[in-house]
Amino acid sequence: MTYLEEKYQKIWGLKKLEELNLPVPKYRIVEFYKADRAEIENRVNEQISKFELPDKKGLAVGVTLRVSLPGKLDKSGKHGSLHIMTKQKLVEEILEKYDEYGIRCKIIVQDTIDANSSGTLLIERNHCIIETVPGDAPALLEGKTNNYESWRYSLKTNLWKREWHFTANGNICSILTFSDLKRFERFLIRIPNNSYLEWSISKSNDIFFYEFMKLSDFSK
Amino acid sequence: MFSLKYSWKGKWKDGELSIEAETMKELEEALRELVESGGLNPSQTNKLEVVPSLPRTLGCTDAVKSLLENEWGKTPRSLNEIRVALESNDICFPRTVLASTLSILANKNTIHRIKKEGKWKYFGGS
Repeated sequence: MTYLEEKYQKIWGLKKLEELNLPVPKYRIVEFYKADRAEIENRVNEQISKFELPDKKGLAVGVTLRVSLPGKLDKSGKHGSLHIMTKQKLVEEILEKYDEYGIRCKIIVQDTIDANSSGTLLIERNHCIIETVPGDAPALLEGKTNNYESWRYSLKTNLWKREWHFTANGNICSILTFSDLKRFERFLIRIPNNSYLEWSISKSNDIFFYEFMKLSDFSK
Repeated sequence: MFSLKYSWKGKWKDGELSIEAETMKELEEALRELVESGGLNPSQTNKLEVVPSLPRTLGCTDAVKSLLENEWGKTPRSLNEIRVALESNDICFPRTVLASTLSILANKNTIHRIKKEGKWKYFGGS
């Protein structure tokens, strides 16, 4: 386990995704140093003035804030708004996070994918499970819906099986296409066993990954 | 620490009855009264497994920790049992999210796990 993994899981996860050569939405890290509040505000303003907020139609809609904290605290770092469109709002939210979590937090400012669908991916033992909802992922990740689509892929037989249907207005609707599943297959080759990832497919049909967690071996 | 309530839901006459109590003892007393009044079949309470109530606002980590820190969580529970217990609180985490959370919490020794009949079972306590 590296220092960074131990200290800041979310940032380590992004570095790991890059190392695995998986597509990751553009991100920047804002760090804080010991200084008075006014100085912190100046530094954040200065840093943000250099940022370019995404305006690629169909790919990213604004940015989001993710709070990374040392060790076990990392899980308690709460997301900021999902689609921040102005630098003023971005500075305000970064300072809010600083006030809430203090000097030890690092803020990930990451492009928010204009998502057609979003979801999770878990590889354990001989299979992979993908669960997905249309649009952004929060409803799925926060346990607020049981209306999602679930796929299981056998790493032995290379076959996909839909295990749970998404419904809209009482009708079964497909979220992922056969072509989406085939593209996931190509990524699966690079992802180690016992991993958990979060992803989005943009309206321009590109897959991006933004969370990676290494899990203990389920089979032991 | 979250305030936990104990709840029971079951068939009652032509409909459904839901009871909430602050403690297991209170809930058991309420159920006993219903049995004594003749409105409830004792077998309905014998099979009863009381799952603590959780606020719907909890994230997966806090929801799992709250569940397993409770009396219910002292018995080793499978992922599916935990999932059903959460769903009875209208908290619906998909398998991927729940499995990763359980694995991470077990790794950090925040919760514990043992393998029974080839499957991991998770429990709380120190």
